[in-house]
Amino acid sequence: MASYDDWNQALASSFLKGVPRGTKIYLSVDDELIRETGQNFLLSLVAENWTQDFQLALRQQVVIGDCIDLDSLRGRTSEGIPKCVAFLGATVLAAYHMGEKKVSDKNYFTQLRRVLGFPTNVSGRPNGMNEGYAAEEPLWKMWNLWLQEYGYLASAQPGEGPKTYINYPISQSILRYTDKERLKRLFKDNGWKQRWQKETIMAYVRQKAKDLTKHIKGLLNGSRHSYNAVSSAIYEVYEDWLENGLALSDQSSETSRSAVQNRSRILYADVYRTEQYFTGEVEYYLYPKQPRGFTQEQVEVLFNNSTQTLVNDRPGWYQPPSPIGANELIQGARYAVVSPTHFNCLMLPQRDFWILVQDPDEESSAYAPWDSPRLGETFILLCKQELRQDLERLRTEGLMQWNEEIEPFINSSDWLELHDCMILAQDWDEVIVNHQELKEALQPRDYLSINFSGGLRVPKVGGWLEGQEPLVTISGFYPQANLKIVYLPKDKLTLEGKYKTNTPIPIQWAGTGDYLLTSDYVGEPVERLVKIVNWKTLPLEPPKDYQKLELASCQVCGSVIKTLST
Amino acid sequence: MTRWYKGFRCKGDPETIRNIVVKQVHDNDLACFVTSVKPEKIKKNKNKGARKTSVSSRKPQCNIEFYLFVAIESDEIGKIPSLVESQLVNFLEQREQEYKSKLYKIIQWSIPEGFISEEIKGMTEADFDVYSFTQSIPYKPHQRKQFNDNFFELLDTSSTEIETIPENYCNYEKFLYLLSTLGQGTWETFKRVCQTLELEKPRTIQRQLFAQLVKESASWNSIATPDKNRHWWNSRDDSSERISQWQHSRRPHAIRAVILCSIL
Repeated sequence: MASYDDWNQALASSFLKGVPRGTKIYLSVDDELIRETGQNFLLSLVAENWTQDFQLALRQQVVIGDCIDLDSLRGRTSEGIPKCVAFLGATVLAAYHMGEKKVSDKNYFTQLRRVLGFPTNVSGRPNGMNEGYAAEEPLWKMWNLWLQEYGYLASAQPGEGPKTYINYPISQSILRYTDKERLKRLFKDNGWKQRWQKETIMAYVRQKAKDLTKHIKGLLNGSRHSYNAVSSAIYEVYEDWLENGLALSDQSSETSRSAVQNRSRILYADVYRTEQYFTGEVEYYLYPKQPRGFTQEQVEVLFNNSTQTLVNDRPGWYQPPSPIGANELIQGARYAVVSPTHFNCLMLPQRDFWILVQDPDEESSAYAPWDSPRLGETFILLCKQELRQDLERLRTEGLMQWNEEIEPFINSSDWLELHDCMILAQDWDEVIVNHQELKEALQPRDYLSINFSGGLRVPKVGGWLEGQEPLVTISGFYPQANLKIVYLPKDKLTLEGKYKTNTPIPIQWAGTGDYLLTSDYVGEPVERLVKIVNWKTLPLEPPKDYQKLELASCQVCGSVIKTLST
Repeated sequence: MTRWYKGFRCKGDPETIRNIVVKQVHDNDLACFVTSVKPEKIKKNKNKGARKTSVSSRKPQCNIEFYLFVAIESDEIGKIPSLVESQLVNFLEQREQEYKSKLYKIIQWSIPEGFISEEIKGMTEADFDVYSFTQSIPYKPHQRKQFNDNFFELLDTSSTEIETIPENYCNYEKFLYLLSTLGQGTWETFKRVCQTLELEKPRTIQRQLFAQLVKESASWNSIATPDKNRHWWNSRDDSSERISQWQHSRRPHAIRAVILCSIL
């Protein structure tokens, strides 16, 4: 049986592996995630199912008699991972099973007692967790700090009054068991069996929001970060439903050993756009995405009868392996995955549009769907010509603007690129367009955004060099906003004030290290992290591109000669 | 604190004037005193089927006369906090707008008495919370890349400046340091690094880089004697040991040589 430490390490990795820096992380543990983690990290299953296995390991670590002892979870492992991740995950699992009943501490602690193997006829906090501020809150703070150290945004936060401490796990459970069941019922009742894209399914889900739980309705109107998290979670449920149908939802909530569930066997690819330097000619490439929590390093894909190994580009992405044209964009494309055999294919989905943002890590001519555009940021919209009417409508209404249109493919006029697109206004609700998924994708979720410009970025490190820090601008629909900057190494507030939006703000940085920037005015605050790097710590990059010379049937590269296959 | 309403007789477009008032509230941090505004009810178009128009597409109604009530929180009804008096009331009374080539004051007069909500309830729209106000983000397109920025061109046609190593050599040091750590990169990165370090004309920089290397090369140590097996592939049998072709050459000159090759 896997130990608590094994689960702890596996869960921590599963939440960060393949996830781009800057993402807000939700420790959204449920039975399905526990099963996936157990399988992906090759843990040994001895209990009836993965959830039971996880709970046994947990109980061995923290339960002593009828009491909880969290002292062993207060530090970090030799790899620097907080020892409390699996325990916090267990508290989120309890929140996941709370169902649609009123969110209360009684309901939550009943579920937590079930997870910990305590009798549920007794209510309230388990022994040993008598005070939230002393028991679980320091562990949540440790988890949040660890995420920030790795360039991720933390999402676990306290509530108010009696929900102060139980809100930490509740805030992490994106979709609860009953939410998932309701979604699957919605998919079935409406016969949504086509493999739609995320924006499409989200547009349909929004139209049917009245049939969903109050929890989902709230999430659909959340901020950009929470919307991204919930739309990914809903799409996972949709894929799960497509693969397995509704048959399994009537079974026990804990995935049984005999129930063979198949999470998506598809690796997805986006598009990567660049330009020929001298000619300006637009080139599109396939841009494979790393599946979240995927641990196997090597992925081999068949392109034109030749096997290529995908090479890591950055967290969340593989390097673009193959150019694509207008036909692949129109029809979509599938490529066989040679290994691992867990995946059937690498798929470029058939879509009507792509929203491409500028490379967030370095100054280059590359654009890709790395993230949804922030307020005040420009992006390229690659779309089918048939969307032009809707886009003109949005422009006429003053909701968005662009300044140039080009047809990127010489041999095809089906596609159009709109350059320097920007979202200008907030009032999208009453605009009627034909392509709802276009509106779903473009409609702003936030009222404010923290943007960076200028400075000297260090590619791949995700930071700026000391003395060459970025300018900070709060872009948004409010005329002004509050800005707070905390220097994380010293947990020191270095700036706090009210500033005009859409105007760069001069910042005095306190030195190298990580900073958390928070801006708000009305409603949910927005956050971003900034890393300032010392010049002396710049890593020396080994050369990656080698000049190769082909001579007769040989290829010469430095001192290496390879025979070219015929 | 008491909440009461200060009334103004206005002329112009009600929505535009409401937005002017609310923006002035935000710009001067008056939201703690002025919480909302309430325009007078105005007869609406009976075409209920029409969708609500957005700010940009709606035609402003510039010559409407109407009352606008501003909700103020102060110690007593009618007593305007001095900051609100100076930053909002005075501002509004002086503000003018152009209509048909003539300037009109947007405030015709202000009502000296204060009102409580009940007194004006029947004649006004619902309160417009000052925090409900949003504005459009100014559109700032990127400057497009110039594709004639060819670094293989030897001369800047627009410049006759003599290329010299400028005084801000520290930034050049930083520049070289960064380039050596990056190892490779795009021309955009190169240009961007130059711009950020205030090194003008990236193409000129490349030439200066070349000139500096040439100058420095005079002081470089001689490279070690190449191994006799350096060209091992030319040997007639397989007995020669396969070695790295440039193992006798070490940094920094090897790296600099690579830079020279790439420039040339």
